[in-house]
Amino acid sequence: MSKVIVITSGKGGVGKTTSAAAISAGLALKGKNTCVIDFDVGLRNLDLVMGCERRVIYDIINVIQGDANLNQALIKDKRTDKLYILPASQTRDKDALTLEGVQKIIEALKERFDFIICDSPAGIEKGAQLAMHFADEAIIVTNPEISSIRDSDRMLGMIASKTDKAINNQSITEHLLITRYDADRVEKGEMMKYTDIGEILSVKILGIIPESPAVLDASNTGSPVIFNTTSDAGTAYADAVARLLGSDISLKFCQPKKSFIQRLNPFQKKEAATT
Amino acid sequence: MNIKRFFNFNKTASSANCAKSRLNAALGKQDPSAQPSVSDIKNAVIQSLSPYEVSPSFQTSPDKKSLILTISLPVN
Repeated sequence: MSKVIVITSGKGGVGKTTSAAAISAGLALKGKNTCVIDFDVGLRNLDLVMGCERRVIYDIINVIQGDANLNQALIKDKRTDKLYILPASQTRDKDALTLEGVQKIIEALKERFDFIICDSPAGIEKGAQLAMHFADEAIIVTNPEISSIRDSDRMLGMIASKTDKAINNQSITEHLLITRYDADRVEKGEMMKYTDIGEILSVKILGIIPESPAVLDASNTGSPVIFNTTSDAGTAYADAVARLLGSDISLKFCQPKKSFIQRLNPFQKKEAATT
Repeated sequence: MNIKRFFNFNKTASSANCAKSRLNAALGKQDPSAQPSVSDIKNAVIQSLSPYEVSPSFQTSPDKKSLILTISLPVN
């Protein structure tokens, strides 16, 4: 059965598109037929992060307005067999997105794909509302930072009240993805701990993505970070995808990294505990 | 890990260049770091003068180190 998952946050710049690209690529690598839709009409970026910006001919607005059919607009990823991208328009206004148009597209995609990932724009306007409207599950992306967490709380409220499932008294499964996490700064008391964030938002944590230079490298080269299997961020996204598919994997990258000397000193932890 | 990063620093620099050229292409801008060829310049001159009734011609200089552009204009 096909599943529609929205990736949202409220606040901009927290890693929604990076996460949408990585998670959709991860699902495809696990053998799931996956389509990722960019809902950020006017400010599309998913095509850049996925590295297919030069292959965009038609977009979601062309399909809604009948200028192109869905197959013409879908771009097949060249790295995996099972991943397709439906880009947003760069020149149109968000008002060109309609509820009926999005519904038609989602219903058509459901017949063909196991997972439909909706990459939501920032904010709470029409684009974000339409991205979440037909969702079965939601991934809330947040940074360990107060404004991001408050915006995430607002989005959770919208998911629980304005989506199709909420209107029909059904529940949406919510997941929390914490990005740009730095366990060393948490240890120093400079950053909120992941357990506190999960507790404040009352959402189960799907993954913790550590601050990593591999993320910028990935967007520079147009290759989702999950393909970088040696990076911390790539590993963390792969674990998050496995959890999304039901695996019980413990969270990584939530403890500070020990230096070489700290690893050699077996008494250090005891000393710290006694002081 | 730090040693690995040290030896990979050129890779980071090249990914930044990759981002720059991809963005220039996406925004329809010419990459300023790309050196135009003589043929590119000749074509640009011919194209920019095409709306006018002038005929540009190119000749190699006697020392063969440069290209001389001559534009013939009708004089009233």
